Amino acid sequence: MSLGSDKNRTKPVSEKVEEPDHALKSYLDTLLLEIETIPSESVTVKEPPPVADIKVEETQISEPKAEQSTQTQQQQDSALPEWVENEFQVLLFKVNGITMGIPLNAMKGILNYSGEASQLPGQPAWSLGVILNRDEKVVVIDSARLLMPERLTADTQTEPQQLLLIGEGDRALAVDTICNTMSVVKEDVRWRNGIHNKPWYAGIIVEELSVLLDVDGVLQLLAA
Amino acid sequence: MSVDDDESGGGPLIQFVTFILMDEVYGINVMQVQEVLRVTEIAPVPGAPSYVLGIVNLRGNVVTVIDTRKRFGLPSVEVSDNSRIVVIESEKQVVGILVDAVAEVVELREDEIDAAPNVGTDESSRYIQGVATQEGRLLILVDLNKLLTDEEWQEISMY
Repeated sequence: MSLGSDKNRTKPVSEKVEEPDHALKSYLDTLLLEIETIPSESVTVKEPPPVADIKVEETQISEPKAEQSTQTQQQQDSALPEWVENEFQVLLFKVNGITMGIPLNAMKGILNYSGEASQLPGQPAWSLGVILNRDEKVVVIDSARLLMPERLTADTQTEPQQLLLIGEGDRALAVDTICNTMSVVKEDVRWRNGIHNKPWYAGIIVEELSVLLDVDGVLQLLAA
Repeated sequence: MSVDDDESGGGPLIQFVTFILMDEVYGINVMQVQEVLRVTEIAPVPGAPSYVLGIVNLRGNVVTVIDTRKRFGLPSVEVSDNSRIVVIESEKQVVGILVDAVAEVVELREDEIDAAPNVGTDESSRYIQGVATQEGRLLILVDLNKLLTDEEWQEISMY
């Protein structure tokens, strides 16, 4: 009995830290003792904590419902790439004679390309080499070989003139020529469907009959 | 041939749109033909399978055009003034098929359609629905739903 009363009243702080279970029991016991002697008004003051906990749980339950309905709408939206906005700018360019488009906001810049790049051993077939741009190394990508290898024959010779910087500016798509820019609204594109196995293919700009690149997908392909 | 005789015997009349490929006459059920287009710009699609020529803009809709000669294992030719894109609606989707020329619409009774002679491989003849004789010429009837395999239909639905 003397031990119990010691625990409830005068347990040192260091002991509470070393024995958390005992400390919690002691704290609860103290509260019970206080309730017996404290007026009823104080009891009502102490009730809010559990009520607050319940409210938090309710909020956590209701949030996923809202997310689920949003997700359903998004799934019905033909699995649009995340970067798609209602209206966005697109740069049209040609690779191996085929016009394609890239969202401007996915680019870091445009460089002229002389065709000279340092060759590193063991590079993938789509790598044309490495160049320096403002002291930063940029891997030049043979866009034709990466995106349309089926259209390349032994006789095919592409002479890219420009580089489109993507990613962090450390990758560059080599393209034949740059055509022009255009403003595209979401409805102008026939977006890929969810089963597409080409991550770089975002859809087709209907008016131009040009493939729109998904730069995230291009980077994903490069990283594979 | 009394194709104008109604259902007097031999089953109901079926209409076929006929087209030419390398001097052979093919027929497809008229109910599956949406329209016939002159060949304008066919935009190539990078990454598309070899039997896809490209895409065309049909009043704001993208239609995939199939290289029918390549599909049938025939040599390729340049597009001519007679070339046409026949826009068809299969069970799977709407596509265009490039043909050398479109000929006419013929009517056949069911009993005029014979099974295709079993001379080709299963792979190459799977889309031959049957054959019929028209004015001394063989008319090859094509089952458009089998023009591509399920995987291929799924693949071109991406474009």
